[in-house]
Amino acid sequence: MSRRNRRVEWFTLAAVCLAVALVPLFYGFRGQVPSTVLKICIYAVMALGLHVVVGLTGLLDLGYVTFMATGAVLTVVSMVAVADPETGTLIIPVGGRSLRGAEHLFHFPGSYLLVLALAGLVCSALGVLRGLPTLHLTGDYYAIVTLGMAEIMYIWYRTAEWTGGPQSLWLNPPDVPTLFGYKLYYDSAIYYFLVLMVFTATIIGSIHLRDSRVGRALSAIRLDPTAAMACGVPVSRYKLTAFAVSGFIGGIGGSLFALWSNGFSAIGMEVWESILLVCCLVLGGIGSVRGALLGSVVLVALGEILRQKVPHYSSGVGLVWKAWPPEARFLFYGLILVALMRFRPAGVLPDRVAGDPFPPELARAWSERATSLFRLGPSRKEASR
Amino acid sequence: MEEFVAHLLNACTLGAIYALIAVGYTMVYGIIKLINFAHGEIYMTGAMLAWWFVTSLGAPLLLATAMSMAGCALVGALLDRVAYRPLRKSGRLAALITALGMSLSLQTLAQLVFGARPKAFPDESIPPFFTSGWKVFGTTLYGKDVAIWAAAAASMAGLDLLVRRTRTGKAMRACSMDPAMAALMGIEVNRVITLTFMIGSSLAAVAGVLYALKVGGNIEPRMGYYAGLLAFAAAVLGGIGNLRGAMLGGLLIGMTQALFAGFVSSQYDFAFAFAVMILVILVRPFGLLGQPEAQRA
Repeated sequence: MSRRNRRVEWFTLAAVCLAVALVPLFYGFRGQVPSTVLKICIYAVMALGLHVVVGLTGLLDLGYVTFMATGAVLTVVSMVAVADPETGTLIIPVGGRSLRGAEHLFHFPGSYLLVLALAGLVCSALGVLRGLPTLHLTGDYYAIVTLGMAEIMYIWYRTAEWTGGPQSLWLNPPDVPTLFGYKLYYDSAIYYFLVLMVFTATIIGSIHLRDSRVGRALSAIRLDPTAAMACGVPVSRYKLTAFAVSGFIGGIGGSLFALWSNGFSAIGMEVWESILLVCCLVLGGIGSVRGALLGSVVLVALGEILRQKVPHYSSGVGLVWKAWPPEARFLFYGLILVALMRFRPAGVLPDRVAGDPFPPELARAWSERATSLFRLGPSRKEASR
Repeated sequence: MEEFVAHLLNACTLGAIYALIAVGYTMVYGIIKLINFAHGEIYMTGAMLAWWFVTSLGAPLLLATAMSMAGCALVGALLDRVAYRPLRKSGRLAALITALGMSLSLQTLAQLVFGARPKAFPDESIPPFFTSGWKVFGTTLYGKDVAIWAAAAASMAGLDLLVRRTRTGKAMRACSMDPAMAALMGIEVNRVITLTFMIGSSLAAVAGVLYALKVGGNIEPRMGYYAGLLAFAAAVLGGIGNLRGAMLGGLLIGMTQALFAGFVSSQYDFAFAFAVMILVILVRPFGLLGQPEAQRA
């Protein structure tokens, strides 16, 4: 990894953060543009969290939406929970109704930061809990098991009472948490800069994690778990670390997302959301920090653009303005996944900085040449068949 | 007792349908080691196409099913040709991501073309035998259940014969044992794979039609997702790559889910089936009838 490449990377990422910080100068905090920018930032945070498991450790996690949903539901539930004025018991008002004269239980100075940390820690514990039984799984089976677990959590959130079930939990103005005395409305300046701060911190953290001892150990596990173990890397411990970090970031992202969407609806937390996050990583290039950012920008923006009304030609009337159905974006996501795997499996912006020191293709070619030179039994290609 | 028999009849029907989907999964996995996520979407396409043939072309149900089988075989072959064949040489993760992408695209495409509203076969298209019933142990045994069992049993017996007794079947078994060696023996591996996709897809189409007949509708773009996932669970349960294992696994998963729905909670039946799937993968990843595979470094 050359010093120049690293400098270029830092410069790019600093420019991205600066650009996000400058958006309000031109567009203010209210309206389509800043809202989309915020959504992109939140998805980028979650994509970077997923990157720890998918990109660094090389395990395809298809259930990341669990962390997003858990972070979001914890935030919303703790913010709307009120004490019943008569009996003093805890009530979670479902469906956006508010109780007159009821007092919020978890509103005190600094409470949102506490909730944010709590969402992260709970999801981190959830990640470890989910990781413990699946430590020995790799490849397809890991992907399917995470998908199944996410489905179970989704079914639970969709039917449980405390999450509002199929109904939504809305954050009414009195429910919105405060930070330093300012309400964290989804279009407020303080919320914007909170997201920006988390976004920046996640980027810096991701790069440092990748270049750290832990990151190298995770890369070794991705390249070859057996070899990593033989070299003295405690594989299970590092995998659990990766799950915990990934879950933590996912919980934080989910919490911020709950504020962005001004509530929680279990129906909106389907497993396809985690496929979208996987898609973000694949688009930019699995294992690349810049790639994760690029993927979230392109895909989230695409989703928002497809929501706009576009002119359609209709016989008789001429041009009419019609919106694509909101599901149409998933058609594009799917086709993007297929096309990328076909034509550019390394993604659009593969990370040259973090390029594998010893990519598997190269390793195979070398070992084959070596075996044919020295006649050490069948070549690896033949042996693996 | 009556309740138990009624649930058991339901469970057998659901199991037969899952088994029909699971054989498609397991055949493809056996040869190219790919979890064909889009298989559930093929099942959905099968039901959709049959519905479309019945309602817009006025085809009788049996003809519509046959046409939809042909259509799905075509879709399956195309899927392999366009999406999976170029990736034979790249990693399994790339193929899995492609399969996810195809699943997502097909599902959305169906939603854009046919709409999200659940559809049902019109009453007049359903043969009278399906709605007739007999009293058995105090509950009613409907003709549609019998028809579904018969159709599923016939398809699976045919498939089993095809794989075990014919030249084509021999080629398929050879490819699943060792594609490279099969190619050296003069078997056209790609043609066999295409054929596998076509057979699996047409069976999935049958399953789609049968399911729609069983529940009296519910043909919608999302129907393939859970069914596909559970059929995969069934394939794993029986030992993935093992044809008879998939049939057994399908029956077991379907019966587990239906009995859980009947006796414990119909809200969490899918969650329970997923939990069974996870447990199977964790405890016995090679399945009931499969052979444990030595881990290669």
